[in-house]
Amino acid sequence: MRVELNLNLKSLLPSDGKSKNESSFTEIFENFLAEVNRQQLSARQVERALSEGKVKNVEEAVYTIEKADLSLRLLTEIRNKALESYQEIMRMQV
Amino acid sequence: MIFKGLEVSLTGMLAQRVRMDIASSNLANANSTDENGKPYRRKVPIFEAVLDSSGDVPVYRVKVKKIVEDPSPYRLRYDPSSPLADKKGYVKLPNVDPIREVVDMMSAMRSYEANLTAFNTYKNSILNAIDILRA
Repeated sequence: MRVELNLNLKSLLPSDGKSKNESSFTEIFENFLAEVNRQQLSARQVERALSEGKVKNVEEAVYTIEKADLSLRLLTEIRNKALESYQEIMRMQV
Repeated sequence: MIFKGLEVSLTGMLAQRVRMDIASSNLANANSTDENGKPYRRKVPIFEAVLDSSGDVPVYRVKVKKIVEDPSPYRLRYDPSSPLADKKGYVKLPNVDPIREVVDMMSAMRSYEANLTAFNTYKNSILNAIDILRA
C-alpha cells in the first residue's frame, strides 16, 4: 500500500470519464450543487419517514441526514470562499 | 467517496443491532415452544465481510449472511405433571442459556458503541477539514 502526496490534485476531482481535463469551476460547482440538492431531498424524505414512524433502522436514517448535513456545510464553505475571493478581486485598485 | 468510512461504521452498527435483536429474541423465548410444539431453538447470526473495491483502500462492509439455529441439545427438566412431559417425565426446554445471552448482549452493545465512536471520529475529522476553509 503506497500513500503518496499527489500534487496535481487530479484524484480530488470527480472522474466520470466524460469530463474533459479543463472542466470549469462553474461546471464542477453545478454538479456538486445538484448532488447536494439530491442529498437534501433524500434527507427530507428520511425525516418525514422518521416522523411518521416508518423507518426500518434509525442508524441508516441518521447516516443519510448526517451525509446531507456534511455536504451542505462543505458547499456553504466553498460558496463563501468563492464569494470572498470575488469581493477581494473587486476591491483591487485599477 | 469521502463517506465510505461512515458507511462501513454504519454497517457495523446495523450488524451489532441484529446481534442485539437476536439476543433479545433468544432471551424472550427461553421458555417458549415454536409453532410446531417443539421447544424454541437458540438463533445465531452469521456475519460476512463484503469487500467494497470502489476505491484505493480495500474496505470491508459487514453483511448479515444468515441466521442459523444452534443445534446443541435441549435442556431437560424433570416435571412429570407437565402436559408436555415425555414418557419418562422429562420436559424439553429451549437450548437458551439466559446468562450467555446477556453476555452476548453486552458484547453487542460494546461493539455497537465502538462503531458509533468510529463514526463520530470520522465525522469530526471531516467537519474539522471543512473548518479549514473558514477563517
